[in-house]
Amino acid sequence: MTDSLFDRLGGEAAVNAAVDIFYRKVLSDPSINEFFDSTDMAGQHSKQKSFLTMAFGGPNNYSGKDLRAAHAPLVERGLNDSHFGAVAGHLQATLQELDVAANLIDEVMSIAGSTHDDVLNI
Amino acid sequence: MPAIHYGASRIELQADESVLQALIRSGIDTPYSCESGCCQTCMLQAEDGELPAESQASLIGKLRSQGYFLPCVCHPQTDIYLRSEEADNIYQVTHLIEKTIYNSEVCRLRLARPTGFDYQAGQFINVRSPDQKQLIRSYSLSSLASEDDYLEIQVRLKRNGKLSSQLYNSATAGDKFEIQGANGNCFYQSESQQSLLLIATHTGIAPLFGLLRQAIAQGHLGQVFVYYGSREIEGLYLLPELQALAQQHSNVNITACLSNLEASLTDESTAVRRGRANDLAFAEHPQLQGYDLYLCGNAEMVKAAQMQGFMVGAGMDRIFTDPFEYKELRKTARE
Repeated sequence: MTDSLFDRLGGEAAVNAAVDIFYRKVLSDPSINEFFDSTDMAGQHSKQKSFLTMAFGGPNNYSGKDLRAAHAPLVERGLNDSHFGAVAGHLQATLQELDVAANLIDEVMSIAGSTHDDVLNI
Repeated sequence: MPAIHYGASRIELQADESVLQALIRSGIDTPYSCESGCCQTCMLQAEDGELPAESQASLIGKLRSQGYFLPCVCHPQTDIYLRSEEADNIYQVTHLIEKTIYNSEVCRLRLARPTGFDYQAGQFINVRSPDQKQLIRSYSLSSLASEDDYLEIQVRLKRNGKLSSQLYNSATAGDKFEIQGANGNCFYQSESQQSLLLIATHTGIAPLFGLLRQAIAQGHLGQVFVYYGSREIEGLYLLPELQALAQQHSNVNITACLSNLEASLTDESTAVRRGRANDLAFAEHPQLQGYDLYLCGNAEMVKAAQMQGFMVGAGMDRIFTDPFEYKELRKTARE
């Protein structure tokens, strides 16, 4: 029996371990932090949890359409490939910091990468 | 667009408009204050319709299951049918037992505790007077349920403050009030050994004082650092009581902070520091991994401190906030 990626990563506990580290990296990055609304930190934090859950192969309700709609206002403000790459880089760095096995990191990055066109409304 | 049904009225929501905004736009006199999902003044009850999660998230389960929601953060996808009679059953009657004036701005009110009224020190109640049911304001509790048989709030007289001026100037023992609550999650919920950082401005000290007393009552062992800020020395009205706690408990550390750098100090040796409470707190605690943070008072300070605390290592879910969001009383919104 094969466990899902989400299970192999450690499920919700893994998301909780990762989210603060990931969110701090994103907020510290001047090339992207302007896209993260700082007036509602708790709300943003919650969105990061949802994003990580999805990227870890966990249960989520995101459709491609949802991702497009959610990011359309950011695309209008200039969200582009370099920003996507920066966020992906922080996700990878977070998992490396948590000593996640390389093959699991690859699977996560693959899921994250698959959102590219929807996020950038391409 | 979905519509709101209120009595005989049917109000079609405009794009991006909250239920509250739609009601106000249509001339319906419904109470509200912070307009940001914090104070729960605007709470209404829906009889039918799908309530978005965000509009109920901060309410306790009992209220959620009865269809209560916060219209200021409600952007429904379906029609919503509101209960048109006021949801009176959530307010309880109380009366003023004692009022103490602390200084030219702040008074302390002790209200009778309704039977069965349960709360955690640091939570807040919504208060109104029985003959002005639309005038509702939130005040945080500084009393301790296990030790006090009254509910205590500390009220700051606000310029043009409708309820605060009544409470400060004219409320007297025996006056009846109605209260709802307790609400909020800024109450003691730390492990005993944890280091705690408490930051308050002005009357934000009230809930933190209650919270501190609760921590002590529950035998908190870790270090507790309190940064209490005001512009002027007169504003540090609770300092004597805090210092008394610090004298009795060696793990409690109080730092009083004056943000008005030109404020005069009558006695330089009273350990009052110059600077903003949050700036001094983070300068002295540059790394907060493993700390629990409790932040109360000025909304801008609370938001800034939440960000500062998180970025230097405090877990997001270990930062508890009670921002004092004041009702926008101007006719045109601030920029």
